[in-house]
Amino acid sequence: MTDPDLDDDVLVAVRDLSTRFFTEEGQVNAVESVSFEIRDNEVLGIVGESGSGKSVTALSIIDLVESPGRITQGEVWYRDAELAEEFRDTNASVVGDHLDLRTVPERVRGSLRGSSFSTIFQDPMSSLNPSVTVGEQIAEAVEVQRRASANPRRTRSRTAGYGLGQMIVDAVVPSRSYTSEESHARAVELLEQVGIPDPADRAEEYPHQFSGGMLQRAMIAQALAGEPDVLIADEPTTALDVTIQAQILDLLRDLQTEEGTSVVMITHDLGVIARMCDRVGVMYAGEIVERGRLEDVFDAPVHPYTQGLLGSIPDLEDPAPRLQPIEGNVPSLLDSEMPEGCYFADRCPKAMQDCLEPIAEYDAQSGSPEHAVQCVLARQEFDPALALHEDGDAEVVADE
Amino acid sequence: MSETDTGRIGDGAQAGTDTVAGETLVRVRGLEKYYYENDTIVDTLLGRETESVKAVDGIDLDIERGETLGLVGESGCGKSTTGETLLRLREPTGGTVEFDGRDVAEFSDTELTEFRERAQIVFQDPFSSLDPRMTIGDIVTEGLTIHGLPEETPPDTSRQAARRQRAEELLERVGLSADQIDRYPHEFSGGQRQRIGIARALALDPEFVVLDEPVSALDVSVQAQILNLLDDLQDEYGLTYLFIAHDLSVVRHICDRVAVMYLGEVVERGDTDDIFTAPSHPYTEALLESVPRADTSEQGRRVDPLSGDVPSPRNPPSGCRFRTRCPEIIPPAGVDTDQALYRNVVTLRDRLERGEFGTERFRDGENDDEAFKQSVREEFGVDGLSGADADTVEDALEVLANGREADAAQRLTDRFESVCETDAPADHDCGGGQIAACHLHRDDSREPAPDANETAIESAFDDTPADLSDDA
Repeated sequence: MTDPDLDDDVLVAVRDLSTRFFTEEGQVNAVESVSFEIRDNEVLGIVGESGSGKSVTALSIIDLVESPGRITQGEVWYRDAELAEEFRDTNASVVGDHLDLRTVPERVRGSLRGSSFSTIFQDPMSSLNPSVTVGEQIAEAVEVQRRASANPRRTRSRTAGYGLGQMIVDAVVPSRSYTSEESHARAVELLEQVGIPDPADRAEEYPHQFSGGMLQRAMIAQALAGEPDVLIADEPTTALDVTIQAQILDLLRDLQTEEGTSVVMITHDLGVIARMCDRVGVMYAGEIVERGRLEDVFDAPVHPYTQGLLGSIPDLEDPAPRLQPIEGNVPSLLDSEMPEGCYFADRCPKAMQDCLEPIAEYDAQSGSPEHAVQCVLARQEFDPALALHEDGDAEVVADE
Repeated sequence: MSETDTGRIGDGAQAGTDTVAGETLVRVRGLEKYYYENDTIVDTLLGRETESVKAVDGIDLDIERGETLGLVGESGCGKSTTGETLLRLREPTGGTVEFDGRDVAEFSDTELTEFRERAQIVFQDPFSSLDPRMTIGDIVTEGLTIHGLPEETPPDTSRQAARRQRAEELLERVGLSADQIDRYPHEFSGGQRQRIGIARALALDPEFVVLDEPVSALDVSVQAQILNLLDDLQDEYGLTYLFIAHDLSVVRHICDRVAVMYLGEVVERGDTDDIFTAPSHPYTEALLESVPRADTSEQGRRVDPLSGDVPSPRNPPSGCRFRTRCPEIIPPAGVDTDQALYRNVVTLRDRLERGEFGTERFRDGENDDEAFKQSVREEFGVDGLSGADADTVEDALEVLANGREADAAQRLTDRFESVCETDAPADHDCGGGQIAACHLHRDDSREPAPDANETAIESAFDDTPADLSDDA
């Protein structure tokens, strides 16, 4: 058993996690040996471009990666004193109050969804069932948690509890609705909490009767039903207009402060990261290439990719005459096409000979203990004599 | 709408500056695009009322030769429809578009063909806007083929070969490689496809290009490449752009002037720097305020966001369309209360008027009128008014307690009706060519203009824009 070296305020610690998809075209390394922590009462940001593995990372934490994807290695430590006690003398890895969720049975991980981990997805329109009222869907989530907490052991068994069997019985016996009056009342309360006017009336409506912003609020209400410790928000505002985005971000922040929930904010928008997050990890080609506190990453970025990302976005206040884009395209994640060394080397303006060797994660030497970066530049200055690419090569002729 | 109406604010403001007539490449006046529902013969026979969706409702724009005009707004505000309508890809239902001094709607077939050579469009979605069964060479040369170009070829090359050569040049120019010419779109990434779309638009050597959200589907690093490319191409070919976008930082970067749209109308227009540093319309202000900046100073910043959603264009609000969300709605003379309280009263009134009040919600069992009124006061936050304002609200609540919702709404309307709901705001010149359609800029309001006070009140309430520019 490894020693994960965890502080008390670490709620979730991901260590060396890799997720691969075994597709017909070959093995896709969606998440490559990723490590990070989620602390109590913080907002952790994960930022990256499309295909960088941010969403799969989130799904890997809650074990929702679907076939042909599989988590191939790594540990997900979660702090839960009761569970840790229960599994202390089993095969599972337990250190103090933390236990490694990868070593407990699948059904235990399943039982944590909703009550410990909860997710908000990008597209509320396709995440809710169009033929069931919004209130009913939220009540269902509440009901699941109510039944689970009334009988935690049954919850984890395969057939009973809130599982399939119960649902079939409820569906077949018409006099029994799955959700109870109490759950409905709680659903209305939740809708009110997320700022939906006339919650009692709106609960009776169907998703198509809601606007995009309202639906996202309803999604958040549903995610809160189990009073989770960790709320994973996967691009929660990407589909929304800026004025509505501002409403939703304010709401998420309020809920985070009120409920003391930790939030994992996954987005491609550096502005959203800056507004919401305490700490941030930058993902590129399945790896977290740089992580640290917000000010570490934004004010003193070490990795050329982070620098490039920050240089690519036009500034609202001060229009630069010319943007400094990162040349080239996001790489393919096919295992057969991945280079040995740094994945960013072919686009990197500061790539050197050493970048062709596998790169480890280093302390960024910026004075911040939390600032880590996966780049040789953390150890050595850029030396133009060792550069891989010639400078001043402006336009890309990208070839795939 | 008269085209010779030189009294329009837009003309006046520009005539005042150094703009010379004839530099305007595209002139849009009162452009309307309505979509009708229940408009079939069957509906007419059944006597169904035709319902119109006012996607674009009377907008004015001037696009100068060689500039980039940004058209910004939230989804559904009509910005894409505007772009397509002014290229006559959709037929406008009203208003005029003049291209290089000639009315686009009156072009004959041959003239329209010529217009199509001179005006092009790049679409938002690089995946659905390229035919997957054509090679990118065919895609880029399709326009040339349709227009029978080039008209003359060197003696030893066929027209076909000349086209292919042109396509290769264009591909190289937009940052692709000429030997990719026989590949299909699926072999390219999003950013590369957008480059193909740009090459296609450039093939006919246009003067004017409508860029409909050209970078919003792209990742930020690629987005910056495309923005730089568009910048370079504009310099090189002297292109005029209409840049449609919802991302304000992109607009700030690339546009010379900006027009902000809300619910089918242009609410503010002017120079990019002016609009971004000193927005005149409350909507522009809110929009800028909402954008998250990628900077550590952004951390924990709370935005006072606009409340509610954009209303439906099927049934837009009367008067100023932004008034249902506006944080600076103007109370009528004599009403003396702070903005938040006033807003609450108006919200109560609106709910009553729309019949969405739901009196029974406040009738908790057998509670008496006093308890009922108290729960309404609490729910809508209309406590704390004073004097005649408070009396009117009390009066309305009393009527409401008797179950007469419409009556209660009327009483509130009588006292609290705002100019923002009775009158559509005219365009007001805020100086420096910045024009905002907002009652706050009436001359008797926030910034009184010299010498215009006498006519100001009349003109502000008059729907047609008065000759304010002449006064100024």
